[in-house]
Amino acid sequence: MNTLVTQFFFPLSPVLSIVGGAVLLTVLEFFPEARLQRVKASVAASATLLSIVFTLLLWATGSFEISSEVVETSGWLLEFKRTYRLDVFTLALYFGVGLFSTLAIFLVHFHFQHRKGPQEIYLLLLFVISGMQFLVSANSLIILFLALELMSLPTYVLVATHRRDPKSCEASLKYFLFGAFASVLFVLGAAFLYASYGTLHLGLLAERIQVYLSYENSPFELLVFTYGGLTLLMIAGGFKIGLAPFHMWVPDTYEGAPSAVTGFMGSAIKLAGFALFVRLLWGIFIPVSSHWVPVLNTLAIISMFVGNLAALAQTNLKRIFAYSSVAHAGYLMLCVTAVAPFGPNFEALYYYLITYGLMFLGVFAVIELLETRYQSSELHELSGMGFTHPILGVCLSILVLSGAGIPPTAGFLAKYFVFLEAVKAGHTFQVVLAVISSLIGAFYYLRVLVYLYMRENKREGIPLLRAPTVFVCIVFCALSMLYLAAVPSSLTFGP
Amino acid sequence: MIPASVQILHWSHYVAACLFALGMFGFLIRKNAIVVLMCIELMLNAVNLILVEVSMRSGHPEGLIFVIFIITVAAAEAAVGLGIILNLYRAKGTVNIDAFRELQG
Repeated sequence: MNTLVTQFFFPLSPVLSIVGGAVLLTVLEFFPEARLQRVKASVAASATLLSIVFTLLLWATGSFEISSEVVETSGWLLEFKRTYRLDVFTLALYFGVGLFSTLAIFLVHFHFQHRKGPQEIYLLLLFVISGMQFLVSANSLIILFLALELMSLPTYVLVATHRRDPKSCEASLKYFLFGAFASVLFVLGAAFLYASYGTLHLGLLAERIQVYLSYENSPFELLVFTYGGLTLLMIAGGFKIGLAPFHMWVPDTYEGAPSAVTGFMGSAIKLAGFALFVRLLWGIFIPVSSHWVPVLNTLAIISMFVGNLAALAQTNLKRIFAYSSVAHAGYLMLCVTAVAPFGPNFEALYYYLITYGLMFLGVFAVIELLETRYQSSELHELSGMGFTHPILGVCLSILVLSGAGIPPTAGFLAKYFVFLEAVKAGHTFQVVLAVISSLIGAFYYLRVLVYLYMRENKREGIPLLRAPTVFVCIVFCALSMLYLAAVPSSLTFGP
Repeated sequence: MIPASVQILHWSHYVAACLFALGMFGFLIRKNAIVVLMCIELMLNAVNLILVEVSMRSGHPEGLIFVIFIITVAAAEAAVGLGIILNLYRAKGTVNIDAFRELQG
């Protein structure tokens, strides 16, 4: 009994608290009164907070080895331990997912205070979060696939929350078609690996790839199936994180979805998507890294340029930041390809993911305020807001500067760490290109500042709504940009 | 440690490849959203065929388990997809993918 608690329930507690919250919300859906909306939001928020608390507890106790008593009993518990991976990186990602989700729940709550909409939204959000947590800790291609779908299917619905809004529906259709195609490619890749190595367990796959490919004359079929599987899995992951040239859905979906949901997608789902890449590439494909590193590096460079150049031409804030998220996927990919397994670049990647996610959520919180008030997310709605709403203006400036990677903010340090890792790995040319593209990108970030402080306000009489929770979210994101820049070691996690 | 028979391909894989190619072709050129959804199902079933064959030949049950999960997920995906398409039909009166062009730029 004691083993069950310490070896099963406790390691699973961050996920179980989310799933428990989802079950509770399912029961609460029997009472569809509008006044219960607040209760449902607080259930969802407390589930994510509880998940963060359990993550920190697990971190503090910190033993991730399979204990001998489990090996002795050797039943389903051992099998569970083999497919559910728990290590420091997983816990760090749990923390990131919990943080982004909590902020996103506040934004979603604000969104539905001012609009009519279905109440099941918190339930769906919790399902997505549990999917991301399973994805982060999966150690088998079956669980990985199920987690990916558990994450994606409710997201298609979340994007189409406003059923009567044709934009929302269209965004959802595009996301659905690309997402379903990506999951088909994922299972095909998994089937290729299964056909050639006879297992779906990531640990066993890693061992067998290492052994089979180390022979001088590996059979041609084996090579075709291995590289085919690798390519298909990478394309599927590329669709999920919106890496160019698989980014076609990103601007449309991010624009059509409600801003609160977009903030959630851009931060938390991107984090989970990169966790998938790290698990697959650093976990099982290390022996063939000389093949995928140049390809993914090229895609990273294409992503940066496509994202930054396309964002220049946009006038809608949501589209600008959608394209900027494509560019950021490129920088993050540059960090993934700088492989040095178990080296410090876990931390460079994690630092970048957290700073980028907080930046994205903060910006979309501001866009949510604008959209609720003016029913539009065009750039000119920001005109003169730096003077009419001074605190909001300063916060948005900090967030935008962080996105551009300008010194006093965490965005600069994040880019610096990533470039440092890439140079260490010998990708100097790619880093030069990345710096050039981020210079191009600085232009559209600074244009936001120009609108904030150098344009006349045409809406003098119509101030933004008072929204304490959203306001706190924005200030939190902006302050964390400064805090993380001052104390970058606060995000380190050592084994 | 390479197993004695490195034979990975089996004739049924060609059937699966044909099915997958049909699905992919339909996914890329058809304009009717429901047909596109059917093409996705076709591709998933082609993958199922490969998994079942490999699992039967090698004798581990892992592949068969995966197939059961894929079938389940495909059903859930079809449910969500049809919901989205129904919603679009209510909004526009058509399920032609080309009719949805509000988000561009």
